Formats: sequence, C-alpha cells, structure tokens
Amino acid sequence: MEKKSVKLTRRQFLKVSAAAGVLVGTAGTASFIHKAEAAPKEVGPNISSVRTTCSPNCTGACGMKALVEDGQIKSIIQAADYPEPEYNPRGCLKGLSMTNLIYGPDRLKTPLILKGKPGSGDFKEASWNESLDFTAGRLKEIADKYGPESIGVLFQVGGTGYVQKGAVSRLATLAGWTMHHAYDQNGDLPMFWPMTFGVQSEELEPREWLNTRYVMVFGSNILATRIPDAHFLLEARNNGAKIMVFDPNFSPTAAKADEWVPIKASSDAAVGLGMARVLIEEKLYDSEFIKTFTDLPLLVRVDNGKRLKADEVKSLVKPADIPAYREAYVAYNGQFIAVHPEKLDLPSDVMIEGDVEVSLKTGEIVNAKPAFQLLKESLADYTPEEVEKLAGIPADDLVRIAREMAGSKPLHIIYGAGNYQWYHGDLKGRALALLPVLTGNIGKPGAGISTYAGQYRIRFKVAEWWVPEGKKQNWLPFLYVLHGPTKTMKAKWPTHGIKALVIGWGNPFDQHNMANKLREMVEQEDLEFVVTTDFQMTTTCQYSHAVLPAVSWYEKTDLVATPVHPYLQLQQPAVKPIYEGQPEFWIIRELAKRLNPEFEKYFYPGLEPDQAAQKVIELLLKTGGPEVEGITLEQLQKGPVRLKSDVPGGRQIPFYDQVQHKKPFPPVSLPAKLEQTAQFVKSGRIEFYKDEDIMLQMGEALPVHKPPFEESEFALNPMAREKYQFSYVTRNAIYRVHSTHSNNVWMNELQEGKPRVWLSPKDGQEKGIKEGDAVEIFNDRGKVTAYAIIDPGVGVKQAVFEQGWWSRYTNGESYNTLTYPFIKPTHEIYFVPGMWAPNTAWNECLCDVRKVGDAL
Amino acid sequence: MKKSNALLGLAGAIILISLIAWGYQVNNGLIVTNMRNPFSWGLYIATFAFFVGVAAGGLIVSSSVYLFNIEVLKPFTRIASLSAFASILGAGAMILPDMGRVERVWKVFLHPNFQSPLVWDVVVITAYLIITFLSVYVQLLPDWKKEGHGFLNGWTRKRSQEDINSFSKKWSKRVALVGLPVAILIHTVTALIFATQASRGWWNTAALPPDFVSVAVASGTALVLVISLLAVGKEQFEEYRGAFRTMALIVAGSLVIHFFFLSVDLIVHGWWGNSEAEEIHALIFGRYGFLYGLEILLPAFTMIFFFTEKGRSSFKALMIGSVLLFIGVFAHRMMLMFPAFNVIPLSLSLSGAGIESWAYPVALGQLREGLPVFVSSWDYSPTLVEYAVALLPFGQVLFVVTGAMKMYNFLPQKRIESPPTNEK
Amino acid sequence: MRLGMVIDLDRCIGCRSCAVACKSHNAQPPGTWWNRVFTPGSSFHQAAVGKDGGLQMEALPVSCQMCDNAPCQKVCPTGATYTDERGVVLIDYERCIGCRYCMAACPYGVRQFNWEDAKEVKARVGYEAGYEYGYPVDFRDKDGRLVFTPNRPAGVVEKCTFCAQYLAEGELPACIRGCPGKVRTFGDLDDPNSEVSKLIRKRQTVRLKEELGTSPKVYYIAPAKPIRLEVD
Repeated sequence: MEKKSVKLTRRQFLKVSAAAGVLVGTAGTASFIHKAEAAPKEVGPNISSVRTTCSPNCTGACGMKALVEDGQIKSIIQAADYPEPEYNPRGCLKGLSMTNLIYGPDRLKTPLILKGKPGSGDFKEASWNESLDFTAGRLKEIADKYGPESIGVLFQVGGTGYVQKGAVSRLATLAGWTMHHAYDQNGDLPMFWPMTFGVQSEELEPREWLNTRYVMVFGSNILATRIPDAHFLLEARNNGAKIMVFDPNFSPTAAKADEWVPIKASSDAAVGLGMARVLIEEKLYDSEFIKTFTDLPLLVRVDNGKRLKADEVKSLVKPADIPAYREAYVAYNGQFIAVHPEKLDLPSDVMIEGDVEVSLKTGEIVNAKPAFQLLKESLADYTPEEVEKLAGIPADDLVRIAREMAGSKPLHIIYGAGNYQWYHGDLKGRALALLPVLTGNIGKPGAGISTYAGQYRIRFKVAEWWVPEGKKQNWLPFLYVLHGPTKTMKAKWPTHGIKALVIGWGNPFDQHNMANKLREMVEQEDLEFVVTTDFQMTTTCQYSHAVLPAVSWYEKTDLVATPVHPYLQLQQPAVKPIYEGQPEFWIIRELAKRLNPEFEKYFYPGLEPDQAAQKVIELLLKTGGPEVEGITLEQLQKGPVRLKSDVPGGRQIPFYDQVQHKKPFPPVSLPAKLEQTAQFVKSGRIEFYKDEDIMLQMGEALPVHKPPFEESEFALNPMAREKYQFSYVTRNAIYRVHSTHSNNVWMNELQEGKPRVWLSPKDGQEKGIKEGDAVEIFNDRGKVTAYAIIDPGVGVKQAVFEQGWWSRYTNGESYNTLTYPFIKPTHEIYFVPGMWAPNTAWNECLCDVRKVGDAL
Repeated sequence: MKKSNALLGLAGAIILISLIAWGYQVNNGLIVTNMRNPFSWGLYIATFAFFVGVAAGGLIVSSSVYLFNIEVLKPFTRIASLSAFASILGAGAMILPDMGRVERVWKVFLHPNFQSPLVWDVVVITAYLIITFLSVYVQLLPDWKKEGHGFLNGWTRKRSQEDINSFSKKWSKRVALVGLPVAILIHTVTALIFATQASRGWWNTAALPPDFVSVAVASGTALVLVISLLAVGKEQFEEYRGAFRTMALIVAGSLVIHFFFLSVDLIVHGWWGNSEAEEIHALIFGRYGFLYGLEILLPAFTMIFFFTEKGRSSFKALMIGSVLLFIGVFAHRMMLMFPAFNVIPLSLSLSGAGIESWAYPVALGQLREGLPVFVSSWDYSPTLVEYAVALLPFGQVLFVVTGAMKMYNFLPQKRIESPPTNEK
Repeated sequence: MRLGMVIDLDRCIGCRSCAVACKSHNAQPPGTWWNRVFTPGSSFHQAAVGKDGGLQMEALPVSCQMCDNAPCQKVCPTGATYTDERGVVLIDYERCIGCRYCMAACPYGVRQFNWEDAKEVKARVGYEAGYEYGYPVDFRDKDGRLVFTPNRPAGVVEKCTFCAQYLAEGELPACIRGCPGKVRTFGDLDDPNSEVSKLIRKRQTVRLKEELGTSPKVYYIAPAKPIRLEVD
C-alpha cells in the first residue's frame, strides 16, 4: 500500500504537468485532434501497451492494444495501426471486453479430469502431468482398439491462429487421427462457390465496397456480424452506391439501406432467378463477358443432359495438352469448336441461343443447346408474377431492381450465411451468382459476389508446419459424425466410426449438438473419450473426460490472417498465462511426446512456447509462397503487413487475374492443390450448368428455386408440415461470437443476460405471447426456452433465436437440440475437406412456440 | 411523569433502531435502500420535506400571536416554538442519512456553491434552527430565573425577575417577527430545490413554493394542535376550546389555499396536454392513484371536517382530523418523488413512428440476477432499512418534545390569558 | 477552449462498442454505464420501430452532454461538480457528498451513483483474485482535484469525463478510439477550423433536449438516409 501511494503520487504529478501542457494552447489540442500514432508506447512506469490480434471465430482479426499494468491487462482498445486509415479502428464491443473472459469466473485454473457423469460438472483437479498422462493413455487405448482414425479432431478456423492450430493439425497428421473441417461443420461453406467458381470461397476486401455503385445484400446482417467493416457499407452508400437489402426481417442493416425488400424465408433463389430472367429477356447482360468467362456458350446434349465433350463429336479432336482434371467441351459458331479449358478465347459470334444437331463419333446425331439457351428456357418459369408468389417481392419492384442493377456498375452482391445455411443454400448462391456474372461484374474493383460469413480460406501455404512431410491427412465432414455415414458419401468413414474427440477453440456441445446427438453419444459411451482444450469452462468442457486449460490470444504468440481483410498480423503475449494455462502448442507438444516419443522432435523440443511459435512463424513466412514473400517477423512485430496479391496495389479482388488476364478458373484455394478444386469446374469457366449425375437427378443442373423443408423436414417426418409451421432461425447478435462471450458480464448487462426469441406481432398475438414472456421453442427433437421480443420487423411464422448461448442460460438444454444434421446429396459429389463437403443447414429447421411464463 | 418516561423510552428506542439501521447503511452503502440511479431520491427526502413542513407551523402559530394579535393562541406559543424546534431538528437530521458521504457534509460549509438551492436550504434551515431555539429559550427564561434551573442563563443571575420577564416578552416578540419570514422561507427554499429543476416536469412549477407554504401551515399548525391537545388533556379541553378552534380554522384555511394551488397547477399542466404532462397524469391517476388519492382525500376530509362545528369542537375530532392530515401530507411528500422520477427526463418523440414519448433507459447502478440493468421506470418502494432510518426524526421530535415538556413548563399559563396592558 | 463532440447518427450502427470501451477504460462497476446506446422507440435494442412496413431503427448513443449551462453543476452544493477550462464538466470524487441532487437535475440520465463499494461489486463478478479492470492510475486536474480513480469511493456520483486521464496524455477519449464506425468527432468548438466546428457548420445537427437551455457540447448529426453529402 505504502509503495503504491508513492508511485501514484509521482504519476499524478506527471499527469498534472501533462494536463497543464495540453491546456496551454492549440499545439496541445492538435495532439488529440489530429492523432496519428501507431507504435506501442510506454505510458507510465508500470504501464505499457502490447499490440496483438483479437482472434475469436468472427475472424474479424482486429488489431487490439492491451493496456498492461503489473502483469495484468487493465483495458483494451483498438490498435488502429493499419497502414490504410480506412481500416482503422477495427474492433468491437466483444474484443473490447475480453478482459471479462481472461480474468473472469469461468476461466479454467488447472487441468481437470472427469469424476462423475459427463455434463455433471464433477471433476477433480489434476496436475499437468497427471492429466496429460491420462489423456495420452486414453487416446492410445482407443487408437489401439479402433484405429487412430477413430479419433476425431475439432480445431475450428485455421486462419485465426496458424501456429497453435497448425500444431494440432501436425499432431493429428502424425498420429493418423481424423480431422473435421470447421467450414462445413459450422455451416459456413457456401457450396455455390465450388459449384460455380471452383473455389472454396472468395470475397472483396471491405475497402473495395467503396468502389461499388450497387450493393445487393441477401441474408447478411453486416451491421451486426461485421461490425468493424460496416462503416464501409455506409460510406459506399454516402458515396452514391445504392444499398438494397433482401431479408425476411428488418435487420439493422436493412434499416440503413436505401431499400429493404422483405422476402419470404429461403426464397432468395426465386428472386435471383426472376432478376436473371429480366436481364436475359431485356438483353441487359454482358454478352462478351459470358461468352468469354462462363460455360453458358457450351453445348449440352438434350438427350441426356450432359455437356457435350469435344472427343464425343465426330469432327472434333480433344486438345492434347489438357490436364486430367479438366475437360474440353464444345461450342458452336457455325462450326463446332473444341473449347480448350485453359484458354478463355471463344469467338464473339459463338452461339448462345438456339440449338444445333451434332454428329457424334458413335454415329448418333443428337440435338444440343448452349447452356445459355437452357438457362433461358429454365428461367421462363420465373416471371415477375410467379416470383411475387414465391418470394413475396412485388413484380414491379423485381423488374425495376433488375434494370437498376444492370445499369449500375460495379455491382456487388453480399450473400450471407443467414441465406445459405439452408438445405438449398447452394441453389440460392448459384442463382444469385447469375446476377454479377450476367452483367460482367466479376474480377473488377468493387464488383462481384462475396460471402462474409465463414472465413476459412487459408491465406498462404501452411503445409510445412501443418502437415509433417510425407504424411497423409484423414478428413471427415463432421455432419457424418452426427448423422452417420451415407451410401453416397465420398469421404472415408472410419471402420468403427468416431470414438473419441480432441476439441479445441470450440464449444460443439452447445453449437453442434444437433438433435442432442453429441451429448447422447457421450452419455451412451459411443464417444468413449473427449478431451477439450479451452481457456474457459464451456459446456463442452463440462462434457469432456479431460479438460486442459489453454490461454486466450493475449497470452501467446501466433500468426493471424483471415480472408476478411488482407493483413498478416501477430498475436503477441500481453501477459503471462493466467493460472496454470498453457498455449495450445505446449499442450500439443506434451501430448505428442506422451503418445510417441518420436513425435516430440516435430515440435521444437527445448524451446519455450513463445520462442517456438516465433520459429514456426519464420518457417511459415519462408515457405508460405508468394502471398507472404519478403514479409519478416520483424516487420510483423512493428505492425500489420498487407499480404501480397497479383492485383495492382495488392488489392483483394477475386478473379481479377482470371478476368483481366483471361486465366482459367478456378484460382487456387489453399491449402488444396489446383487439381483438387479444378475438377469442380472442369470447363475452366464459371459454371452454371452442372452435369454431374446427382445434379441431373435432383433437377439442379441449372440453378432453380426449391422451397425449403420439402426435401429435409418433410422428408424426415411428413407430419412436420402440419405440426411445425415456424421457421427456427438462429442468427447472430452483436453480443457474442458464436458461443464466445456468452458469459461476458458486460455483454449480458446489455441484454439482461437472457436468451431472446424474436417474433412478429401477428404471431405473438396468435400465440398469446407478450414482450418479455418466457417462450418455449420446440419440435420433436428438442426445445429451448427464451424470452420474447415482439418486433414488427420480424417476418411471420419465424422464431428468430440469437445463437451462441451456453446451455447454462437455457435451462441446461442446447438451443441446437432442435436442429438436424441434414446432408444434401449434391454436397457429396466430390470431397475436398472444407471445399466440397456436406454443409450444415442450421436454418433448415421447423418448430412451434408456446408461452411458458409471464413477463416479469 | 410515568407517561412521559415511557414516551421518552419509546423515543429512545426509535432513535436507537434508526441509528442501528443507519449504521448498517453506512457500512453497506445506500444499496440497502431501494433507491437507484433512475429513482435517486426517496423516503428520506420525502420525510425531510415533511418535517420541514411541520416545523413551519410552530413559528407561524407563535408569530401570529404577535403579528395578528390572535390572543387566543397565546397559551400555546411555547409549545408551538418547541414543536418547530423539534421538527426542524428532525428535518435537519433526516437529510444526513441520505448523503452518500455523510462524513464530508462539512464541505458544504467549506465550499458552498451559492447557486445551489440546497445551499440556500442549509442556510435557512440553520437560521430557523437557531431562531426556534431562541424562541423556546427566551420564553423559558422567566421560569428558569424563578425556579433556578435551565441553561445558558448565567447572565440572568445578576438581573431581577422583572428584568427577565420583560426581556422575555420583548425578545419573544422580536424572535417571532424574524421567525415568520424564515418559516415561510424554509418552505419556499425547500420547494425551490424541486421547483427549479426543469428536468422534472412534476416539480418544475412556480406554484410549488406557495403550495409548500400552505401545506406547511396546515400540517405545522396541526402538529402544534396535536401536541397542545395532548399537553392539556381531555380534562382541560374546554378551557382552551377557543385556541383549538382557531388552530383548526388555520389548518382548514390553509388547506383551501393548498387545494387552490394544486388544482390550478393540475389544470396548467394538463390543459396543454403535452406528452410529458400526459405521462405524469397517467402516473398520478394510474400507477400511483392510491397514494395520490390519499394525498387528496385525507387533507380534503380534514379541511371540510375542520370547517364544521363538529370537527373542531371535540378532542377526538381534532385528533382524528390532524392525524389524517399528517398521513395525507406524508403521502403528498412521497408523491413528490414518484411522478418526478418515473417520468424519465430524456424522453424522445419519433416522428413517423407515431411515438410521442419514449423514455431513454437509465442504468440502475446495480447488477442483480434476473433484473435488467437498464430501465425506463423503477418501482420504488422503501426497504425495511429505509423505513427504520426514516424513523429518526420521529424519534427525535418525540424525544425533544417529551423531554422538554418533562423538564420545563410548556403548558399554558393562566395568567397569560389576561396580558398586561403595558405590552400593547 | 470548449471541448465538444459530434456524433454522426447517420453512420452509427448501434454496436455499443463505445459504451463498452467507456465502461472498461473508466473502470465502471457492474450496473454502471456512463455511455449508453439504445434504439429510440424500441423496447429492446435493435428491434424495429413502427408498423405496417413503415419501419425504422436508429441508434442513439448518450453519455454526458457536457452542458455549457449544466444543471448538475449549478445544483451541486459543494462545487464537487465543476467545469474546467476546457469546458469539460467533471466531478471531484473527494468533494462529492453524495446528495444526488445532480442526478435529479440532469435531464439526460447520465449520472451514476455508487450505491455500494465499487471494488466489492467488481469482485463479486468473480474475477481472478486481486484483478481490477480499467485505467489503473488516479488522475487529478491541475488543481489536484481527483477526477478519475479506478475505484470510485462508495457514495459518490460519477459520469463521463471525456476520459480526462487520456486527454491529459494527448489521447482521444475511449469512446472515440473504440468506435469502429468512426461516428464520433472530438475537438475544440471555439476553434472555427476544428473538425467539430466544421461539421456543425456543414451538417444539420441537433442537441438533446435543446428546449431546456442546457446548451450541450455534444452535437448529433441526424440520421437522414440516404445522405449523399461529401464529408471531408
């Protein structure tokens, strides 16, 4: 105490002098009015600030500065040190209140070993040695009994921590475990991307929004889910861009838009197709562009629906220099043309409408039509009047918006997870992709289609660290763990299924507990062992047999680069690990050497975790390829560094190279090799016509509108049609990053710490539910209780639940007990982990609501 | 004697309970009350205002004797002064537990901000405390001289009884003359604490100070009436019937003025019909209708009752009328708070959405499970601790009045009934 | 010098980051918020207002309005609330007697009372033993008045100080640095060339409860979408 008061007195003196200095004149004023300061600085004898990167699974990757005194983080503020001032100050309310999690009551203090039943919370505290020996022992037993591939690994999004998460991948690969890719697991994989463009996902960097003239937002609530980037949208609007929001609900984003177009749930494909029809009927499309870059001129056989291949046609020879994963198709301009899949050079007189007779090598003569012709025919069903019926958008508005859109370049479509996390999410994306493609809005500044949910793209090569040389990785989409294997699956199902889970950076027992499946698996000892590393006691920890205390991103070293903005950044420890926590790297290394003493050498033995992490960063920078070429650890220690790109100015504009330099599609999606993803678009072009058998069988060769629930809920249980008429929509609130911050005291102060269900006034009235009433949302699979918000902006027959609540806030039940792990067969045509894989459809869920308690 | 000992014991117990509760509050903070940020004043300030009110009555009664020659009241000037002194002492004490940092109250004297109506109130209440003390003192001096006890009376030892008698008479009158405006001022200023605040529509009216005075005259006179009735007892009631009648008439008359201000104010607030006034009306006639009913109906009853012959001609009737009035006035003081705090000042109208008044939520200042942190209304009702602490002035008044009356002679003296002519 | 702030409601997305930054950096105990953001007209933040398709949803941040004619200062019996040379309304935590008159006087509901010991309240949340959040050092004005202390004494009133502790270091207030929407502009209202003065001249601004004559130094640019004005 004595010492402290002396210190304070001296500090106060300094402050007083500083204050006086500021007061003297305009020079002082200038210092805080025109502020431009980036370098961390010493603000007092015992106070310092450390720059790190906030890395939860929003993947916002915001540079934050921790104010540290006496080894404790006192407060956090945006670092605001991006070289481009437009990106400053990235950050949000969750990141600003991380101290509540770092020092909060749910922080794990020591390793724990389960004593009682899973979920009982009956643990014994253990030493690191004891818990690691126990974990390694159990994992070895299970690997011996069922094979190492029966051990599943969940480590969420790679881009938020290349070093620590890479360590998990490294060990999993060495040990032969099965990895689950978070992209499809989280339902964030927009399957139209690989289907249409052959990529995992792509997006404009938000700064490019400023160059856009027309923005169409489908199922995305940028203002809540992309808080640090939302200002770009408003700035674009104030620069003269028109912002159109298509959403069943009046979201904060809709409120700031020029127009809000309320549409029916999961009817976006109909809207997209209706507009595409207008573009085609009124010849508002960019004919040159679609001939050059898309599959629309390619001929399709009318008899079997397959694309006509060059080597089928009598007069044609398949070009010799075509890689195995490509195919040469056929176009027609009076003569048949063998279309080289790596050359985007079709003549401008190529036929896109009409049909033609083709003589095949077999001697058959078949009728063939360009895909464009088929598309046009297919779109004929989507007249404005019909779309009004399907989607609820007035026919006149549809036509007007289509014309406006065609006349305003650049056009940008934001296609959010609220839209594609449905069974037919892929169809919606394919339909909406028609709009920028038909109008030539691809590969240009401010133009394109982007999905800002799901930031899983790896930004540079990571194999040197993630995959020990010469080792193969096992991957299995997580949906199969919940759903069980299917006959049509391409991924390899482990002989005994998944018998153990190694979990990090996630809370699947709330977030992926679909139809209560995960909990049942543990309770019935189907899952024989679960080990979780986390820095907080999540619901998943409660269901784990061993809990290993990790650390937050303020207590370790890592490298971060997510796709939302193009910066490579460091995580730097602001403080030492709290309690007995350890960086995941250390935990993995300790586990590795217990599993097999041979493994230790892969993890920089002898080095402290932070030193080792720096070594890994240097390795990654050296071997990461052109994106990180020339970037050094020293540069990163000074601040964020923009990743390199082929686009002039290093800008992040998808398909720039393809369109500007006529390179074949797709660009590489790391970490996959080109041959893995190029097979998705064998023509080397943007593909709207998919001729894989399943596509043809399901009637999805071309993008079509399919109503929700028919092939999912009603196929599962025809009674659901009558019984459950409410859509159970689980959207994001501003207070959580999925389930992170569910327990953040300030976030809960801001919302009374209560889960909410948002209902329309009409439904509230019909169900006798008033604002604040306790409401049970239920179906045959499960239930969750939430408190009603009656919102005139919510569409009818919707129960909108704000996702991410830990079970302790919902009477112990996971809000995901209502959802179901549907698998769409078209997602099984190929399997490339996290790129073409069955995607979780959270919103494909029906329910009913009833009042269970009065408002307080 | 026994009765007064019992009363003193009771007063002591009340004070003790209140001090214990206050001690508890000092230890735990004002969180033990049910006041919170959106409702930051409650029972304490209401009780304070109540005692300021009854304190006025004393000097108004005794001053009237001198100013308006209401001779019939003269027997009760000592009791009136004592009542005023005890009440203002109680009011002054009541303000202290409301302070978050009571140990710093001296800073008001060290750094007074003369813009603050609260500082004005400190000045006039202190002045009133001195004046009422002097009033009691000078009236007791002749007795003390005669009976050879009392305090602060060393200087009288060398004077003759006559000297002291005439000194007492002369100064009683002078103190009363100074006292009357100060008595009116404590109400005016206390009312100004509230009335100056444009942020609170319920308070922000020029009618508030005169209305405070009228209520104070009524309730203060009623307190003198009650103490006097108890002092003389039923046996001697007839002897002072005239005085009691007069006091009852003062009570009733000032209530007429009170209701005049009240209704004029309601009309002015209500006629324009802005949203804030509508909210206030919704609160006083709706949510707080019962309390507002007490505030209106009880004094109205007393007013009418005291105007009837029956109402002012029996011991029982006068007691009932007065007690009902106290309850009504206390309700009035509580009702200062509810419509003021539960109409959030920052209310916004949203053109286009058909919303005329939307209250911007205020943080409570407390985080409690199941309770929102932000509210646009706070259901204030005092906690047990608050009730216990608020007993303090009641105990004090009882203690001071009983104690003083036990030690000294405050009862009417017959000889005063025919005053010496040289006083004229 | 008169320090003031302009808040552009057209740009405000209602994310409440400013409120959280304020809470953290100024060590506000649970239940206390110097800075609030709500959706006017709505019973719950970010729920729509209106009916029959005529919907709206705007956010309004409110903290101390730094009135030139500050009722809180005028009612304060001890002068604990005062306006400094820069026009910043501050509270001397060592002089406040906790009478709460200022809370009754403030038309903006920004004043917060310490109903109990701040340190104890914070500890009750269950932080690591001995952990305290917020700017860790006391700050006194040039006359030695205590206008920021990480643990406010029980029984005093507190509110926004424009982050007095940061202004002294030439840093902007936490709400400004914490706003990802770049909604807030801060500076000298007396300087015609300051950014705030320019904004007030160029754009249509309103002040809250202007009819009360409190003359706030916090200005709001009305949400008037779509705005096509160039703002430099």
